[in-house]
Amino acid sequence: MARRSRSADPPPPPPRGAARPARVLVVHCPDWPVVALGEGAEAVAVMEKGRVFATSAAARRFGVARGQRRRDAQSRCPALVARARDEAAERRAFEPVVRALEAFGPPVALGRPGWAALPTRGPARYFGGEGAFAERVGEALEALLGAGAFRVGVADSAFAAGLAARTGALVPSRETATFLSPFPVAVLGDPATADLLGRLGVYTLGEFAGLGERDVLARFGVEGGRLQALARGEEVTPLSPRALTEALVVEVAPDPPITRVDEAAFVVRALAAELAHRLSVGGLACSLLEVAVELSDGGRVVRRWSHEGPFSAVLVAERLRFQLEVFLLGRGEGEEGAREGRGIEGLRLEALEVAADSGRAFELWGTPVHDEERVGRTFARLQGIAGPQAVLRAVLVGGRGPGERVRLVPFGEGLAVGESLAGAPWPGGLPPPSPALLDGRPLGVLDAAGRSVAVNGRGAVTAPPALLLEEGVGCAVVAWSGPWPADEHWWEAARHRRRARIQVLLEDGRALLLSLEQGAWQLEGQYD
Amino acid sequence: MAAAPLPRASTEQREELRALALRHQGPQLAGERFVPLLPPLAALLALPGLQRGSTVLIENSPFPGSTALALALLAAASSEGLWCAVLGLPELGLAAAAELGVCLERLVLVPDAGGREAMFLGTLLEGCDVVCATLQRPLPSLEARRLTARARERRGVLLLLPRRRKRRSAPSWPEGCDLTLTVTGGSFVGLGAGEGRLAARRLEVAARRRRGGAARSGALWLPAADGRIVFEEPDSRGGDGAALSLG
Repeated sequence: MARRSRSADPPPPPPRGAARPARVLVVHCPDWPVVALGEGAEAVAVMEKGRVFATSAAARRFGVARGQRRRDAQSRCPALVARARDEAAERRAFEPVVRALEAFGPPVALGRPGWAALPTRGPARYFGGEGAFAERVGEALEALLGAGAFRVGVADSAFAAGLAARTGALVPSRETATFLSPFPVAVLGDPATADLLGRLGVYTLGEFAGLGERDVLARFGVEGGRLQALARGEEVTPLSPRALTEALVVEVAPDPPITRVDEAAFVVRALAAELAHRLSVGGLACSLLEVAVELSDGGRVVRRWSHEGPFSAVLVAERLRFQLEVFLLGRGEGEEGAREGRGIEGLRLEALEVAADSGRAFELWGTPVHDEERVGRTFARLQGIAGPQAVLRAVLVGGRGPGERVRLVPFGEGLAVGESLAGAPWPGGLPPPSPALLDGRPLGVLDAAGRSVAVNGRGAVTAPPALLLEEGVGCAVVAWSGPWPADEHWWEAARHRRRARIQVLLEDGRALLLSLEQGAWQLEGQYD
Repeated sequence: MAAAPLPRASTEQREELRALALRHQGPQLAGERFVPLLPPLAALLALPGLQRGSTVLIENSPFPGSTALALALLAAASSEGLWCAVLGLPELGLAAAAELGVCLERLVLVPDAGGREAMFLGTLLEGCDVVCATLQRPLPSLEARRLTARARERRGVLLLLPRRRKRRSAPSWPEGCDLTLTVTGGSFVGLGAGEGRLAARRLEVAARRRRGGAARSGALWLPAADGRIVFEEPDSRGGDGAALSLG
């Protein structure tokens, strides 16, 4: 096809240096953040940092637009369903699309989720022209996403193809600059430069492309030069295709099923080593690993591990070995006794999120900064011996009580997206300092007359606390403050908790945080 | 060279040799010899940091504050990217840890070693720069010596914290420690009779070094009313002898 176009066209004025423009096909799925959520409602807005990031077509009809605050958007469309953005879910949902595109042969370059580009030269020749190729792509995606959920465009550069995809256009070779020229400069995606250009009287890409290259460089710098090259329809950065994902899956289906732990460990080690080899050949680092185990009794277990630092086969093998022990011997996870005849029929490791391996930095004086691999292996070894729950990491989440503000997760596992609300306001929570030791023992709080102290409906203590009874031993209260009431989850009967907290300073020098719930006092923490 | 068979060295001898070799290495930079400390703690201890390979004991004390002191010792190390671990102490208040400046990303917790404390400690020392441990029962002297040697060899810091409910019991570490810290007093500020809130806490700490002799003591605000950790200059207490005494 390239040959044909060359013979058909008269020798065109070659753009700087480039002998033959690379042809690019871009697939763009509009409103992908909304589509990926799979929300059933009509009017949906995806929020990021408190502002509307993407909207469904129904929401746009009500006047909801990107950049609006949630309140403004909901005042325009009361039925609006606002959801937080989940970029990881968007990428995962886009994965089948990428696979479908990769089936055409050339490696696929990905931008933001919902956008993919692939060079057309090879497949266009194979399918008999770019038009035919674009049609094939359209058919494949229609089967996957349904009609109207995607657009396809072809042009000389990825930027131009993205614009062409808006109208589903197929821009012929060498006509990209003409195609681009009527677009406003705002499509370059640089508001500051677009604003400046507008004030200089340059409104369209064609006008911008017509400016002297040196003048643009002098006035707008390197970035301006890059934007001008975009406006001319030149490919600024070559497409950086991602490595083929098929290469990053290793699996094995042992026959007969593995029933012994040591045997399983051996297989796992080999699998992990194979994956590590493929990653290192591709110069890739894996940050999310999925492990799927198929059991002979029909069970299937899938685990995902976040993985920091360089991929280490030993580390993965250590972790997986413990998991397999659980499956095979039925130990832990509430199961007792060995499961007779239970075996592993399939094992599969897949690197879900990969990125270029940036390598490890070394300090000026030769010693490695931190041997993350060694550290990770240390913890994995302990987890292998005592279970994943033995080695924990703390993540700050939101909460009112000192214990609720922290969630413990096994080392190596991440918190689900959206679980951390550490930055949100927690009215009724105590300001720092927090108690350094948490407790939970029941105790008695008495007033000067020896009656138990309670908190009334107005949120005040019935009498000042004067004596604390800990396991039968009394200690006088020197100073106290509170109560701080906290009425949590009142909208949900099962999780509703009403508590009041007070701080007391005791005669023996200790400062304690006490909480009262359903008439019973509890030592919540000690300021140790 | 004679081909006579060399006598087989026992494990201890090998450990000793390795330690000897470490001691006789060339000059090292301060950053390699010390685990960083927050400036107020460094001022209190008159040290640039916790010496790598050393054992630090926080002694039993009838006064509260040992846990906060231990957390403050971890703060600078964890926030500079060194790995810290806490063994035992399932009741540790991690919100307090974060407030005192500990970077939770670099903190690993082993709340329950299930009776295999020595093994866990040894393994943690392999990977972490600072290991803070609360032992459920005193270790045998041999184990303790082995762990001290492991800390020295791996150039980590072993920080020992007494068990919480047995403040007055015997020390939980049979070996001598390079640095011993004791909370000798303290007071809380901010609570009244049904008003105010706990705002600040003053902690008096005494430090004793095995080598170098001089014992130091001073007062820390842990934290001060503005949430920072502040070393109280001895002068500001009007010549009170308890603030700083060089022995």
